Amino acid sequence: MSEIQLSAHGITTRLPRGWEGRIRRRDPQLGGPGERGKPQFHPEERTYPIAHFANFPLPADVADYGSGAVELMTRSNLFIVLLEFGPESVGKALFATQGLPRNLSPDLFTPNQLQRTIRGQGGYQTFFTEAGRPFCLFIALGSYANRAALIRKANAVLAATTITPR
Amino acid sequence: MTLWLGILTTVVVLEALLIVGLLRSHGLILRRLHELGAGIGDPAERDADQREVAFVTRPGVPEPRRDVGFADATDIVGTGPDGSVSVIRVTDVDHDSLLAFLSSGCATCSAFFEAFADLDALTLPPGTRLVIVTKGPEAESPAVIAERAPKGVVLVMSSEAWEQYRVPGSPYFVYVDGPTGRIRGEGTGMSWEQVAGLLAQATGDLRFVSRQAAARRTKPLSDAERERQIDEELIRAGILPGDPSLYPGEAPRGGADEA
Repeated sequence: MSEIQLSAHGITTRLPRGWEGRIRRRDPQLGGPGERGKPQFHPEERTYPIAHFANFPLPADVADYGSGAVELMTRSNLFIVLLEFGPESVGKALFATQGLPRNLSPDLFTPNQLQRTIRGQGGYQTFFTEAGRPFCLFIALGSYANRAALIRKANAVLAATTITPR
Repeated sequence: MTLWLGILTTVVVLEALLIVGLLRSHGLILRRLHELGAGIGDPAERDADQREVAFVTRPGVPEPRRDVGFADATDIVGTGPDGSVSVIRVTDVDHDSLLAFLSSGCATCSAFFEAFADLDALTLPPGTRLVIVTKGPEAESPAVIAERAPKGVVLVMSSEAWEQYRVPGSPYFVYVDGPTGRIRGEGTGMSWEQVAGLLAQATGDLRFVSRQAAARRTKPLSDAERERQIDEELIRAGILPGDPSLYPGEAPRGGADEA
């Protein structure tokens, strides 16, 4: 089994060989693995889907922007996050870009765009709206110096990713 | 002359009796070997009641599969108890995976859920990824599984994976070699110690049991820890128990099987 389709909450992608993925929407009534069933949020808080794609084994507990996973990356690893925001964000200037960027260039990435600065790594973050749904795209590279090769891999996954209306 | 003839006859008779006795015992041995399936002839031709060997596992331990050979390792797609959907890669990857097929309803599995809560206490070869696989939400309660899921261990709910790996019951363990995608060992046990021993035998990898061996001895912790570190460094360097380099000036003591 080389290419595997992963689909949930209107986010679908085809993960190439060696890539793992997890799409989740935190349920306020049910904790995730390790939380022993404790609610993670206030019951009235609204939560939205989060997709994590990585070309390395995803740990059990990964924070929204990859904390817990990016620390494990080697030079050849990268980590992609698609994080949806609430419908109230639609039409806001931050989400004005239409469509998921699927052809990123290396000059977009910098070592200081990481959620958590890790020596040698690089990152990129942008916001967009697709299918009427506002998203943040965040990508962390295991090696900023190796960004050209890593971004080609990221673009392949982004090109295979679709978002459908709610 | 008559005396000599009598003696000779007696000797001949005694020798004949000895030869008959030897032939009879030889025949009995051959018959027993044949009954055990060795020698000439098809053991399948034996009587059905002789062919059936009563084999019963302990309560809580699934019987081994009746079919021969390992299933093919496949990547796993499933859900998490939190409703997430995930793809877990076990083939064509750099790391090996230990798949632990567990259920919420099996008493023996509780020991493993608890044992996996302390990953540092497990004896796993470095780089091995532990993945708990339960049946899907149609057969298991996600809330109950979330309650039992050990923190820090990847857990996926997938009945499809149970079918693909032909899991006979829980608990059941499958060790997959990542780069080749081949199953190197599988089986079950009542405790992690048993399973680790089984995996060490199946894979020939002593790192499954090296830490346990040190822990069994009642040595001061610092000594046990030092011994474990030395063992691990030697194994990483490819020096297994019995390696001639460990016994300068002596004849080799044998291979890793002696450990």
